[in-house]
Amino acid sequence: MSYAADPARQPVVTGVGLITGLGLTRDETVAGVVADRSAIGPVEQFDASAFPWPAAAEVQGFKPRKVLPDRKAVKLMSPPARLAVAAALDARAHAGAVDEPGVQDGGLFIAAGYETVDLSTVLRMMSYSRPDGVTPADRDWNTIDLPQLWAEGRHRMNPLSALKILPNMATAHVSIALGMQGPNNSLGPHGSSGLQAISEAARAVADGEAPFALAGGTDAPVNVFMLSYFGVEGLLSPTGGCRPFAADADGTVPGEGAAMLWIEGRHHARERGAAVLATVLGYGEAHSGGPYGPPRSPETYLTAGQRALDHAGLAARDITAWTADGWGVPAVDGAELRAARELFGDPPPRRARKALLGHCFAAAGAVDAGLAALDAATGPQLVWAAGMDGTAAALVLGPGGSP
Amino acid sequence: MSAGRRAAVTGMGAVTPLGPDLATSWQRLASGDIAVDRIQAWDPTDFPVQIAAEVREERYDPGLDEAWVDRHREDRRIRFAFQAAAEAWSQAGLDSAPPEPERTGISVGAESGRKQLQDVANDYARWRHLDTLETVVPHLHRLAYPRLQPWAPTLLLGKRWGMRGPARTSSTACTSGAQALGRGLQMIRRGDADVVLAGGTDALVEAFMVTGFALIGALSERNGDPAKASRPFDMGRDGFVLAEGAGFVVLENEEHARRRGATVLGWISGFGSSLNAYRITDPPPGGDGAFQAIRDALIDADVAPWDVQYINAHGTSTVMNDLSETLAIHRAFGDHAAKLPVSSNKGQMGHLVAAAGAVESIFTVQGMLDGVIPPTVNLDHADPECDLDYVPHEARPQGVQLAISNSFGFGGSNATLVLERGDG
Repeated sequence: MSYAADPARQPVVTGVGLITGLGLTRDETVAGVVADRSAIGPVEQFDASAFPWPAAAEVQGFKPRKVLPDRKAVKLMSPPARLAVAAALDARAHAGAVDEPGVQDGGLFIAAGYETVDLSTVLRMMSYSRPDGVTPADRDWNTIDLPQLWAEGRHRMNPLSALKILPNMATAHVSIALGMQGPNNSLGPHGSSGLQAISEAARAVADGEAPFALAGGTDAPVNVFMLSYFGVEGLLSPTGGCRPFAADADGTVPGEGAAMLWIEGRHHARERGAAVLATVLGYGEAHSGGPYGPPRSPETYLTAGQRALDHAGLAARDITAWTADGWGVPAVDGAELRAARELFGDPPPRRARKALLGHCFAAAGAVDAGLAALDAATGPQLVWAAGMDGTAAALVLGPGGSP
Repeated sequence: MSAGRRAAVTGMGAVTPLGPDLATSWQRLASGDIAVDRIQAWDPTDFPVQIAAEVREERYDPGLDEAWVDRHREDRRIRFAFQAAAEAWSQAGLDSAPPEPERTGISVGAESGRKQLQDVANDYARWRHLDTLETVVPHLHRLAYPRLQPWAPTLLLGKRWGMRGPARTSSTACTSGAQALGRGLQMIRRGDADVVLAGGTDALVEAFMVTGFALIGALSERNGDPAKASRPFDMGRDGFVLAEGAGFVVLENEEHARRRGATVLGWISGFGSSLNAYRITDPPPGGDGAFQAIRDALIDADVAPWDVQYINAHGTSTVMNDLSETLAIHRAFGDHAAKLPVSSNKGQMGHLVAAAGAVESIFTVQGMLDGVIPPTVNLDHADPECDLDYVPHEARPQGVQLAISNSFGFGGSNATLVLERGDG
């Protein structure tokens, strides 16, 4: 195992937090997955009936003011930041680390989604730029009156709301809510960034930079822009279903959600008597060099997968289950399937969670890794993820072993 | 320290308000020139903040002509990144002898696109205006989505220079550039890559961002005297000045650099990042998070506080930052702080936000090579609570072997890099 020269610092997973279309907690999400229930349905948060792609897996019934510790902060948080804090609290509770004494030394690595570029803030700012201040629904918005933007905006905007659009706000709000002050990063939002965040946390723990780290992803990609842009790119299902690897697959479906993994050194977990869910065995990533969009040929998936196995010191035959990226986009699924055949020969049993949870973009890899960690007792698992930025990543998780 | 823990800097490039390349930018920085001026890119009349440090001269990079990259040409942060990276790549001697793609990584600090919000506005207008999406789709700006993404520069630079190794986009506000260099160091140190192109880019002298930052009260409103607006550690400081640009370095495994006979300009030998976990805007009193980043970077580099001979400060010229940074330096360095020259480049070129940590680290390495510590300009009346040696007004000839560069940002993120002099 090549993560830690010192086995005491071998990174292990002791807690998983989930908030997805299937439920507001890890337990609800897992129950949905076990029951093979799909969270995908018509978009509810705005009228998407004009779209040829009107489906999504939306988080239902989330009341941030009830769940999040600082109710006053909620209005300053973008949707992904709210989901991130909820998943972080869920992960901390699962890890039994609510009273973690060294919490300030903890690391924090979060991949946060596009809606962190908060649409409502942008639109509100645009509305101030209109002489009549009308709402976006009633006017074309491509004329921006700059002096008017300031003249109106300064009276009507909460000054701090402008900060909602910074991509590191999910990290900031989780750190304020939970108290981690150690090594950190906020990773660019794309399909593989959730796994990148987990790998950075595992490295921070293995290298002794932090005794534990929370890592994961969050995204809320159900809005006009995501439906427009991903639809135009030919990535969304016109029939409103995500059917990875199926003969009738015709596109993916955006999903809301966040997943956080509580990762610590094996010795640290043992010292505090925490149950170990999974061991982080290896990680690999690769860059396609473009173009923009998910992989349509197997090389990037394959290189990432091979690097992860090499890092874990495992052979492909050691992998007992494979969580596919499985976008439900035929060309992308085809690329992944060819990579899997190349890597495994005869691929192990496959899970494809996007069929139930949609594509949670920046959170997708972390959601898959979280579910795999909860299921790792059966043997080493490989989780694959690829992003619009030309990257692919692979994570290998193994059984927890004795606590 | 153990050699394997450092990454060699074998190429550097910068596009800043002070100049279109590193040589010009550095020469003007060392001369004390100031690039803060009234905003020219758009009409700032009626805005409370009418000043910025804009990039007004650029160099052309032929990579922008490549198929599908060409369409991103109008994105300023992409242009800046290409120019700075091309300069670094060329200085490292990699143009004629490119490294193995599989062993080459990329690490970029960037925020979401800025000017491109206009594209979003255009798309939204079209979508609201028309009845069905079939009529809208042909009009949608297909690049509006990637243009808004922090990772767009990572993708395009990876295409331009053919990286197939690890790729990372860090978006930690004002510390993004330092994060990118720190993550690049880790890729080298952990053996994930032999060569990493690492840096930051940003272009946010834009009406939305000026409005947003002005509302927070973070920007200087000294519109009548732009050259005096950014004044780190001075009594009269009233906020930072927005700027734009990019800085990139080529980081290299030492053995790899030696084997191909590359000149080692400097070293990145340590990285520390921390979070304030306090408030979204203000740092905590006492400089806790900043102290922790400095301490962790020194530990990471395995050097003692008294080994540090110069600090390139974050020094934004806001009341809170400059005070808490000063306190953090006192805490981290004790008695040694009084003997330690500390200067901020932001008085001359403003705050490059996601590019700041990269560009300022590059200036620090260049300064060590030239034996020059760049000044802190506009320090006319020192704040009595800011009591360090800030190298006021004029550059100081002084040999430095080891320095740190600080970056602190919104959201309470902090990052410090430990830098060492190379062979020149």
